[in-house]
Formats: sequence, structure tokens, C-alpha cells
Amino acid sequence: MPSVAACVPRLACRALPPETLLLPSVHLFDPGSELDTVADLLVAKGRIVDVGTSVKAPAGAEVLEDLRGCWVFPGFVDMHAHLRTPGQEYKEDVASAARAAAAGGFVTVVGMANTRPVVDVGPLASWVLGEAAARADVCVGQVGAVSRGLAGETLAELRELAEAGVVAFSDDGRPLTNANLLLYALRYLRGTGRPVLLHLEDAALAAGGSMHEGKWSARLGLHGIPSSSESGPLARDLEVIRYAAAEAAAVAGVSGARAAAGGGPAAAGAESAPTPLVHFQHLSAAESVRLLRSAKAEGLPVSAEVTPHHLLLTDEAVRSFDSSLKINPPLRSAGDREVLVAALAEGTIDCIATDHAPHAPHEKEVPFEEAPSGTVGLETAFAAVYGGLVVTGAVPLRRVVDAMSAAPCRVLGLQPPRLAVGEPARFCAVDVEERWRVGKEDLRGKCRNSAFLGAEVQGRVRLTVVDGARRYHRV
Amino acid sequence: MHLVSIDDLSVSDIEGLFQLSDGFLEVSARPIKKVPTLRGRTQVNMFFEPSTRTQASFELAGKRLSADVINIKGSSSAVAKGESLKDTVLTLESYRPDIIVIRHAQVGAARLATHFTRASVINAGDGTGEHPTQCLLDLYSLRRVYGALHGLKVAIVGDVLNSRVARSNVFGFRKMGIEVRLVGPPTLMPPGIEQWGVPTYFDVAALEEVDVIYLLRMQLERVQGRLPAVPSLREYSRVWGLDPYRLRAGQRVMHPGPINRGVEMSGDLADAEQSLILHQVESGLALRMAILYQALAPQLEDEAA
Repeated sequence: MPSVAACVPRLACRALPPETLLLPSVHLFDPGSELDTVADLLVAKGRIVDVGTSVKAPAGAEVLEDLRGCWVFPGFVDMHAHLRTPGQEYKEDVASAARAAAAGGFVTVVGMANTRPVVDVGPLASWVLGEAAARADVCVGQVGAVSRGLAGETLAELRELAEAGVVAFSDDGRPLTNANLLLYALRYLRGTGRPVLLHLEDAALAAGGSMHEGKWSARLGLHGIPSSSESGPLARDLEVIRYAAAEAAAVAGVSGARAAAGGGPAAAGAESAPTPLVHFQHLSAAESVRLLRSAKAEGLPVSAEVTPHHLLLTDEAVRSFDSSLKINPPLRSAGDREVLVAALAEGTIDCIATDHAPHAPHEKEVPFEEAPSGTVGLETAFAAVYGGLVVTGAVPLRRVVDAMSAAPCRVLGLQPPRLAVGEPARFCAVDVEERWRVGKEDLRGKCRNSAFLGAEVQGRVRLTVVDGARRYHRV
Repeated sequence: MHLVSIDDLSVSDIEGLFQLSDGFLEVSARPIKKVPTLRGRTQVNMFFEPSTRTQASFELAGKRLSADVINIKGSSSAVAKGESLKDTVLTLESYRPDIIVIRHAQVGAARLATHFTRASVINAGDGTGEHPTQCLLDLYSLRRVYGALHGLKVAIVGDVLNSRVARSNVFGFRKMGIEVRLVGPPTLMPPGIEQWGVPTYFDVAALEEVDVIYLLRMQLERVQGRLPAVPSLREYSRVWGLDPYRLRAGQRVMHPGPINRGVEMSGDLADAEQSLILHQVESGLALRMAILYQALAPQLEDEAA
């Protein structure tokens, strides 16, 4: 009979002996700490221990002269990746995904539940986190399924999953077609503090489609997936969320007042039992942004993410029939892309998430329509966004860093990485001047299906530190 | 006088029933457990849903008051041939019964029956609607144990959504000044219950401060064709199931029965001294005698006068 207080999100990472590292004269940039300055950074015993203009290297410290002039950001957090374990380790596993993540400046990566078997019971989530504790060089969080077996029919054992430490719940890879299941999940999770992440897709509208329905599907002859396949379910889900949120507020109003009058521990429990945050995954369509904006203006408990590939690529790219561009939701029109970029810049879209989706060569080396959907994204996320949107002035750097680090932590209820003395050392260092062309050798996971392969990007991750130890260092 | 909903009774009606019950309790302690109060009256028990304790309780209550009691069961009556509730009631009405006790799977069945008979209709449970006599016997049991009802704190735990017992008890208990709270997964709380000012808690921490924990049976038979409200009985039992080690000293446990041992409560808790389950059953017989008497009291008094 465990109390809901037992539902605490858990991150797991292989422990390494902490190093003593001095990064001399680096540009520290952390919007959450209002930090934007050139200084020395000293790391010891797993934490940031000094920030200043002439920090002396203590005995035994390694001075990383090669990073002089790099920018240091709070470590990136990817709240949407497919770690492919258990069950599809030929595509990826916690160790290889963490390797790819570290190369992209990520200190935390969150795995979705659509594995084989599906992570729909507590012991499976615990197993993944145990693997991560043994083998992953960045922090790994695990998502639990909303429905048993992702079948969309009955709730998975959400409470046991929450107690096992899952960071969120999602049937990602599949939509929640049954609106009542969403309502039940929002009710059942009340008070656990765990958000629900929604993959929006109308199965009927999307049926048979392999790219955005529009100008280029018409030209290429591929069957299209209309934008309404995403915005339609979003509109429906907002109605369910509004209903559930009002209900939770009414219940908390009654229960809070009564319990407060009687005193006792239940008073706190009731008042801290709002409906869970609902987070919309990989938004792709302008219509979805419009709905999201008005839902946020109304004060509904919602947030959203966008992927680097939806921010930078459009349906026109599918002309190449490169199966790495077969993605779900599909790359949409130039107009959609502009709206997504503006929404990220203004904060309507909270987070950047990779939807890192490795597939083996033999699975992707097939005709476009037969290929599975997905692109890898951990290694290239920052460089693609920095080169494509920050350098051009479309999105301010502080917004990008927030969207890749603190914002996903706010959604998941995790402590955000911070560049401040006393904080755990979870950061990355980036040479923001380096322009580079993405090659297969830059992809460090098990698969190479990158939508950005061959693209020119800017900003090279040179160092990733998790808990005071180097997890990636490109000298 | 019908008894369809707990709302049909005032506080003084209920207190009157308690006083009558005290007397009838004594009848059941005698070697010859019978009084002539309802001699010559006819009581028809119509049980369209399976029942052990409620049916036995009503039958014994009638017999100990010397009423002529007959039992109609859904499975072995013309109902099994497709007879409508209306026709069954009209048919029995031709025998001029004085009291009809009805248990039915549909909400509102007892109310419907009142339209087709001049007998006093007593609702012995209508679907997920109400079970007023259960509420009254629970109140009577609490009164016997605690003396006063006002100010008692009771948590009703579990499958409130599908429970007619909860629907009568929440409102009946509050009528008598008991502080009622609901505890369980939010998916098992009736949506809108907060508009009646009933506090609901998802967290078992809300059990700590109550005097009595009233557990409900998980009613799996009522969810067919609908989305199950909890992922599994295993998870329900692990989070919300009760065993003796979870009880605070002095707390007592009630259950309307039948119990799912190992689901809403462990078997050893059902058998533990903190359990009032059999006390409830005992209280129920006396209380139902009181209800049968009270149902016919106006005409009994008229005849006496």
C-alpha cells in the first residue's frame, strides 16, 4: 500500500571516478542562471567547484587547453529517443545511444516505451535503468507505456511503473486513439507528478501515407499524410485535457478545504494532485501550433516539443527519396517549418527533442514507402539547430539552450543542469565556430540513418561531462 | 411507505429505526426467535440478482416477525422467459402482498416497481444506484460500536464508481453527521461527486486520520463492455488493498460483502478483531426487521385504533 510519494523519477548512468578538470577561458552560457560570460570553470568531485577569471588548477587537475574559447552550456536533455532496448539491440542499446548522446552534448536521454517487449510493467523499466547504471555514459530516463502492450485498449500498470521511476508515460510510436483511455490515464495519474507524452496521429487520415500531403506528394506520387492527421487529434485531446483539468481542480478544491479544516497529512496530498501535464511530441504542422498557442493562453497544463529535422527540413527534401527522410510525423511544408521556428523562438513550443530513431541499414535500404519511419538525431541536434537557426538569427541562442536543457526538465519534473558553483557537473563544451559536414563517422550510435547526413552544420561538441567525468572529448 | 433511496428518510426516521432495531436485536437472542408483529402479512422478496446475505436477512427478518414470506428468483422465474419487470410486479400484485423487497441489476428498478403495486417497496439494491438498507445497517452497526455517530470519520475506499452501497452510504452517513471521504484511484471515483462536496483522495495517506475504513468490493462484473478503470487487480491490491499491518491502532474496518479476499482486503484482515464485517451482518437482521415493521407501521397503527 505505497503512498503516491513513492513515485519519484529516476535517472541512471554508469558511475565513473570523478575527474578534476579546469576549462580555462571558456564562454559560460546558461540562461537559467543568467550567465553569459567568459571565465574559467573548475570541476572536482563531480561538481562545479569554481567559476572565475583566474582560477588556479589544483594539484592533479587536468587543464583542458584545447577547449579555450569554446562555449559551455548546461548539458542537453533529450526527452524523446528510441533506445531500442529491450529487444532491438541490433538497432541501438543504452550504451550505444548514450555514446551518440554524449557526442551531441547530451547529459540525459529519455527512452520511449515502444520496445519489444513494450516497457509496460515496472520490472522492465527497472531493468532498462539497471542496464543504464551499468553501461550508459549519460543519464538515462525511461518512459512507461500508457496502455498495456501499446494496444491502446487498457491502462498499463501505471502506478507500478511510476514507482519503478519512469519519468513519464507515452504510447509514442502510436497514437492514443481511444479518448476515454486518455481521460482515464489523466485521472489515474493525478498526483503522481508524471506527465503524459502524446504522439498525435489520426490512424485513418495517416493510413498508407509516407510523406506530407501537399505540393510534393502530388508531384512525387507518394501517398500523403495531411496536417489534420496531427492537428485533429490535438484538438480532440485539448477538449479531454480541459475537462480533466477542471475536474481535478474541483476535486482538489473540495478535498483540500475539508482536509485543511480537519488537519492531517491528506491536506497536502489533495492540493498537490493536479491533472498531469500533457506534452505533445514532435509537432510538425502549423495548425497544431495555432491550437497549442490558444491552449496555453487559456492556461491548460500542456507543453510541446519539436525536432531539429522538422525545424530545418521540408517535404521538398523527399525528392531525393532518401529513406532517412521517411519520418513520422512527416517533414512538412516550408510554411509549416516557418511556423514551427517562430513558435520555438517565442516559447510556444517549449522543447527541442530529437526523436532519435535508429534503424538498421537493411531496414532503410528499401523503397521509400516500405521503409520504417525515423531518423537518428542525437549527434547532430545542436549543430543543426545552431547552424540553421541561431547563426541566421531566426531563434536566439538562449531559447535554443533552454529548449534543449532546462525546458525538458521542467516538463519531466527533473532538476535542470545548471552552470553554477555547487551544482553537479553536467555540461557540454562546444566550438561554435566550427562548420562541418555531417559524415557517417560522426554518427556514433549503431545506425547511420540521419536526415542530416551530408548537410553542412555549425557548432561542434568537443566535450560532454556527466557527474564530473568526461563522457565525450573530441580533442 | 416505500424505501427506495436513503434520501427517503429523515434523521429522526433513522433514529426511530435504531430504537426499533434495539428491540428486535433482543428477539434474535431468544431461544424462540419469533414475534407475532406481522402475522398475516405477505412479504415478497424479488431477487433478480444473486444475493446471499441480503436475501437471507430479509427472509429471516420477515419470518421472525411472523410474516408470510415468498421468494422469487430471477433465474428460476418467468423473468428467465423474458417477462418484463412490470409484468412480474403486476402479477405478484394480484396476490395483494404488503411488502415487496426488490433487488435488480438496473438502476431505478425499485422506483419503477412502486408504480405497479400498492405494497410497500423496499429497495434491496438497484444496479449501481442505491442500497439504502445496507446504509442503515452500517449506521446501526456503527451506532452499536461507537454510541454516537456525529463526528465519526469514515473513509470509503475503492470501487465507488460501481458501488450502490457507496452511493447510499455517502449520503446517509453525512446525513447522520459522519465525516465521509472517498479514497481510491481517481478512475474509480464517480465524476462529479466533488459537486456534492465529498472530498476524494487518491492517496492512501488519507486513511491515517479516519476512525473507520469502509472497503468496497471491486465489482468486475459491472465493467463489461467498458474500459477497465484500473490496470489490474494486482496493481489495485498492491496500492489500495488493506491488510492488518496498515491499520492504525483503534481503526476499524467494514465491508458490505461479499469480500474478494486478497483484492480489497487481505484474508487475515477480514478475520481480524478490527473487522466489523460479521457485526454488520448481525445488525442487518435486526435493522431489516425494523424496516419491515416501519413499512407497515401506519396501517398496523390504524388497525389497532
